[in-house]
Order: sequence, then structure tokens, then C-alpha cells
Amino acid sequence: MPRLTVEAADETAEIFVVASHFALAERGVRRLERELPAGIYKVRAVSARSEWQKVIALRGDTDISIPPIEFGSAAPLALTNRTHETHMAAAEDAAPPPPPAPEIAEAALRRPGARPAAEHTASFNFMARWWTPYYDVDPKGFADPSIGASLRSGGGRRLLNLWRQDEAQGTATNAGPRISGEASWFAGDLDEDRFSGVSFNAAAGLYTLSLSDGDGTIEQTVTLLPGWRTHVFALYEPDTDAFGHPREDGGKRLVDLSIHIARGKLEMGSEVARITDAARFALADERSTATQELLGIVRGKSDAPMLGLYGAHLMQLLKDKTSTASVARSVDYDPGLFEEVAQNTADLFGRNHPDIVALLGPEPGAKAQVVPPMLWRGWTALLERSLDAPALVSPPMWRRTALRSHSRPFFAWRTPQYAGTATMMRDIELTRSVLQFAGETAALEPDFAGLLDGTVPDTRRREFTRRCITRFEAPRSVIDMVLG
Amino acid sequence: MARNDMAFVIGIARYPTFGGNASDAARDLQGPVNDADAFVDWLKAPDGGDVPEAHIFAVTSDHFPAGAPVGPVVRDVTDKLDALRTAAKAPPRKRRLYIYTSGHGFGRRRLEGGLYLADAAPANLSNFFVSDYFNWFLDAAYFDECILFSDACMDQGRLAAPAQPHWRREIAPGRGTSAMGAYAARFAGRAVEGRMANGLFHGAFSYALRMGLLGAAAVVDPQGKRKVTGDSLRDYLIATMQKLMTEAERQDPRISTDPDFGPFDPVTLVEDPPPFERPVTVLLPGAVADATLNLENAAFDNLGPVTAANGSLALSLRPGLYALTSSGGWEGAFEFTGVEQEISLR
Repeated sequence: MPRLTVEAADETAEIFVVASHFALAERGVRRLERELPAGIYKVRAVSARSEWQKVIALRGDTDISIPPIEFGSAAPLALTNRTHETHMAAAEDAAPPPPPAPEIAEAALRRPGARPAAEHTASFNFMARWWTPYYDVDPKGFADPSIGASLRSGGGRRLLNLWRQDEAQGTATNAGPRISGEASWFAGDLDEDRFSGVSFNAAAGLYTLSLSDGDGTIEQTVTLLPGWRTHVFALYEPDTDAFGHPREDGGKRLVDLSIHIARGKLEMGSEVARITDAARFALADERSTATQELLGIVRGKSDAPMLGLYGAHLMQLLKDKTSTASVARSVDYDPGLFEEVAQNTADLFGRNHPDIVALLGPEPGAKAQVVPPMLWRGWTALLERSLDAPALVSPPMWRRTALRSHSRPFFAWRTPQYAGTATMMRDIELTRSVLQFAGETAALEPDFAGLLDGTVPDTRRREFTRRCITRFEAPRSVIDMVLG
Repeated sequence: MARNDMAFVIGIARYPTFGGNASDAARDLQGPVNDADAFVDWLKAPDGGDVPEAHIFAVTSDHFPAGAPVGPVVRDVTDKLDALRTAAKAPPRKRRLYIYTSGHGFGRRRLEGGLYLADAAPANLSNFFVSDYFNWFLDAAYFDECILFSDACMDQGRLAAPAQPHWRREIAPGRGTSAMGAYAARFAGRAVEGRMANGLFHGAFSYALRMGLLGAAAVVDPQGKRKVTGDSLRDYLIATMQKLMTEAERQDPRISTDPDFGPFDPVTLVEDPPPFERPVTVLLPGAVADATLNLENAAFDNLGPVTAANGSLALSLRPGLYALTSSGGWEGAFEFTGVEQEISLR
């Protein structure tokens, strides 16, 4: 039989060989080498959310090389679409202002609450771009895409708007002690280049990123690590649709968000950055198939914290992965490898970081989390862990994040207009749903009789609480409040 | 006739308040009623689903003409479901339930999605949680098989929590129900619609589904019988759906180019479907623009000579993989799913 060898340039590319009647014949990641009956086959390769295809006649041994596959990302990385040179150059050149001269720094320290620049051990880059169809290159009257974005404290208090109000603002931030006094703002020609952003130094820690989306904002946690720079890229769709009509929610809409953490400058041509984004999409789409190869890269790297986090969660996906594909790949969950990757990642983020607590569990005596994790799977893991550690996720944190957004793999929540009313409705809805579920469960399963009057055995109550955590995506503290 | 099969079909195209209360707030779709009608046609067809008309419980936007109250809304859907449930419980035991839905949709997590109803508005996102009803029928085990086709977006949007089934759960212990679920989009991606070769708007998923069920997805089993199975339909949908999208849609990271599947038990959907063959024009490079070529199928069986004229070749083919070869050594291979009108080998 002839031998088919397929090799993809992309480290995380999934390869599928499709035979007659569209049936999957073989699959692999990055490289595939198989003997197959002579015939016609379609070779597909998927990277992030894009794919490459070719139909081949396999008459003798055949080698197929798959070039890097362009995919769409908020980050203007090389070999992604919606990117051009000005975006890449701006993203690479963005850097915080140099530390102030000693006499200026000294003067600044005399301000109440000021913090020495030496404490601003982390830095933050934000870049927003407009997304338009690839064929739509005509100049347009675009507004600053960063408008509406802000960086807040972990608890949600606004620190700094991420767009420059006007020229008079200069480089001043006036954002309080956690953020350096000066920032570098940058923007392209908004009609044609369609980007803007800001870069500054800040104290390491957990922050809330707030981004304009529709009729309100969406928020999520971002991490600034000492000695590292967190790069956030937001891609926006304008507030009018392709026909020029205003969107249903009246505002621009976030298309994609990409987060990287690097030692300073992020090279747009970096293979690790591209793999990090491919892994982000794999996690968002729950495609665990790239994991083994991905982790081969992750395990030895300590220069890609986000990749470590994505990789650890991709591994966990393998534990309960179900596939409907007719050809399975032999990818197994390896607890030893998971431990190694998770531990390496914990060394970077810190053992009490919410995403690490979600991965590895709380340490004895750990305090309640006050800031949600960055990743959705981190949030669901924390909820599950709350069954044994009810204080881990408090009712106020659940309420704050109750109106969810769709920015997978990140854990993001909406803060619409009239958020108070919406959150109250969510409370009522959850209470009604849990009580209805309790009534049904008690009626259908005799072991659970007494759920509503508190006479159910502890083991059954615990099991019911576990089911509620999964079904309603709420922590034990909230379920306990409903059940009394 | 599949006398013990039943179906619930819903297609919502008109959403007058989906964008709010302003006069331009409607967010209508163009495909769902066509999709639902096409699925009902297939259900009724003797060489399709062959389901008795009385067993098909369908509701679409066209049942609510302009000037009438907007619909379908929750009551319209639950009334149909109540009627279906009553009929399903009556003996004899039923074999198969089809659930087909099309409209604006949402996803809660992977393989858990639903449909917004016609009166949905930003402040009141009334909805029908399709997956929960599907699971309800699996638990209740009124049917031997439950099949779900959901053509809707799976993004989470602004819905905080989907509505739960209006019935109390019923669990029939020890009674297995085979199930197959197919969703137009992976979580949390969007589905798309467009004008198809028949001149009408359809969802890309629904149009591919229709072609597959009409026989494009048929395979021949070891006994030599043609059939459309769950496996063959899945493979066909994966190959075909993205061919019905525009280049801009395929590049859009929010749009799911792949459908998603689950649960996925082995099922045979159509026994001996009608032969499926469609015309297609293959565009050839200059070197063989007017050549006589040899046509081969996926197993390299020789299907005979074909003659090109002015760089194009008119063929009538069954879905599959093909190769064209010339005596001068040129070779071109291509895939035909039945939805392409033109394939370029230039």
C-alpha cells in the first residue's frame, strides 16, 4: 500500500484524512504517516478556527506539506488574518515610558498615596483594533476603538481609562498608586489603520479589565506578574452591521480577545505566541486533541505563562473527553505530566492565584478568593471545589459575575445598563430553579425526600448540592442560601 | 410507513422586538421557515422520513401572519409539545422522535442550546431550551430513538439562564433510548444562513442536512444496502456545511464552520434513499481545456472518458471523491458533495 506522509508547519494543527463518502480514515496532530489503500483522499488540517484542505490521488508514496494556516485573532500576530504591518509594528513597539528621572520621581513620591516606581514591577500593554471583513479596506470614519475600555482593581474599582481623553492629557495617568504616573498612548490613522492602545508600568497583581460591548461592558480578570508584561488585544466589530444598520444593542461588539504574558516585548512572529493563541482557541472550542503535542512544548517553557495555563486545562479536558468521531486518536490523560505543567504554571502565577487554586485546589487554611479566575474552566473548577470548601466562592462574587458573557475560554461577565435589576432577576430565577429542581428530585428519588424541609440525610443533601453546582453554575455558598 | 415515528418542528424567522422596541428593532432571519418547511417535506416523503402527517407537530412564523399576534411564543410551543406528548404516550410504543429547530439561538455549554422565541426582546429573552426537552424525552423513554437537529447559533449572548421544560421530569429506569444530536455550531459559535442553489434562503446546516437526508450522505453497508446512518450524515455535514458559507464567513472567528454532535448512538436514519446525482461544472486549466480526460472514483475505478470544452467540463455525479487524468500526465482530484455548482481545478 502507498504511504501517505502529511506534515503541518503549525505545531498544533490537527490533521484529518477523509476517504470515500466523506468518512474519516485517519487523524493526527502536526505529522501523520500511514499506509493507505490507493485511492483519492481529502487532507484537512485545522489550526485555531481555520482550516486548509487538499484532495489528493494517492497512487504511490506521497508527501504533503501543509503551510502555516492563517487564523483570525485579536492579536496581530504573523500569519493571522485581519493583520497588517502597521498593526504588528505598533504591537511590538508599544512599551511603557522609561522610569522618571530621579528628581521627578522624588517629587512624585511626595504626593499622598504615591508609591515608588520600583514597586511598579509589572507592565501592561493594551491594543484595540476594529474588525472589518477582509475585503473592506476603504477608509472609514472610525472612532478610537479603545473608547470604553478601563483597567480596574480586582474588586472592580476604576483605576485608568485605556483611551486617551484628549491631547491635553499628555502622558499622565493620574490613576493612583498602583499604576505609574505616565503612560505611552499610541494610535494609527483610525480611518485606515484602525488601532489604538496604551502601555504603562504597574504594580503586580490581579486587575479587572473592563471592555465596552453592546449596551454595556464585559469584565474579566487579568494578571500582571512581576517582571513580566501582560499584553491584551481586543478586536471590535463596529456598532453598525454590514448594511449600515445600528446593532441590536446599540454599541460596538467585542469579536475576540487575546491575552499574552511575555518578558517585555511580544514578538508578533513568535512561534510561542502563535501556539498560545491556537491553544486558546482549542480550549475555547474544547478541542483537546492537540494536547499531547502542545504539552511537549509547554512542559519545558517558563516564558509563556498563558500557554501553561491553557495547556493544563487542555490536559484536564482529556479526563472527561467524549468524541463522536469514527476514528479516535490515542491521546491519554497523563496525571504526572499534568502535575508538572500545573506546578510550573503555579510557580509563575503564585499558588494562591485563583486559576491555580482552581487547577490544584486550595492549600490548607487558604482564604476565600476575592477575584474570579481568568479562565472559564477555572471558574467551573472553583465552583466544583466549593462543595468541599464553601467559603472559596462567596455569594457576592457570584452576584458580581452572574450575567455571563461568551468570551470563552475566558471567564467574563457582563455589566449591562440596569445591572442591579438584572442581577436581582438572576437571583430570583436561581432560587425558583433550585427549589423546582429540589421538588422534582425529592418526588422522583425517594432518597432525597426531605430536601425542602431540611430533613434529608447529609449525604443526600451533599449530592443534591453537587448536582445544583453543575446544573446552575453557582457555588455551594449560594445553593446553601437557597436551601437554607 | 414509519407509523410509530413522530416529529416536533419549529422554525422562527420573525423577531420584531429582538433589538428592542424601536421601529427598526426587528432582527428577522430569512431561512428558518424555509428550513422547517423543507424538513417537514422530507419527514412526509415516502422515500424520506415517511412520518404520518398527524404525527408531525410543527409551528413556524408563517402560522402567524402579519397583523396577527407575534408567534410562535412560549404558549404556542408548549401547546404543540403537550399535544405531541399526549400522542406519544398513547399505545403502541413509539419508535422515533425527531426534533428539528431553526431560528436565533443560544448555547449554555457544549451541546446544550436553545432557540429564542418570536417575542424575545432585550429585556425578556423568552426562549425554548431545546436540549433540555431533548434530554427530557431521553429520560422519559417514550421512544426507542430520539434525533435532534438544531440549526441555531450557540453563542451565549445575554441570556442568564434558559427556561426549563414545563413538565416535571419523568424517568423510565432501565429503558434505553438511542439518541443522536446534531447542532449547527460548536459552542460558543454562530451559525449562518444564505441564499442556496435552489434560490431560497436556508441555514447552511439545514441545507446540508436536507441534501444528506435526500441521499447525498448515503453509504453502502456490507450487505450492499444503501442507507443514511448517523455516522454517514455526520461525515457529510462536516464536509458540506462550510462549502455553503462565504469566504468572509469561513474567516470569521465567531462563526463555527463545523457542526457539533452528541449524544451519538448508532442509528439508521434512511433505508434505501433515492439515488442522488447532481450536475456540476468542473473548470480546467489551459493545458487540458479541450482535452478528453479519464474520470475515476475514489477507488480509482475507471468511470470512462469525458471531454472538456473551452476549459470546462459538465458532469453529473454522485457525492464523493474523483480524479480526472489526461494522457499527457495532468491530474486533478476533487470532492463533490452535491451542493457545488462549479469546482475549479485551475
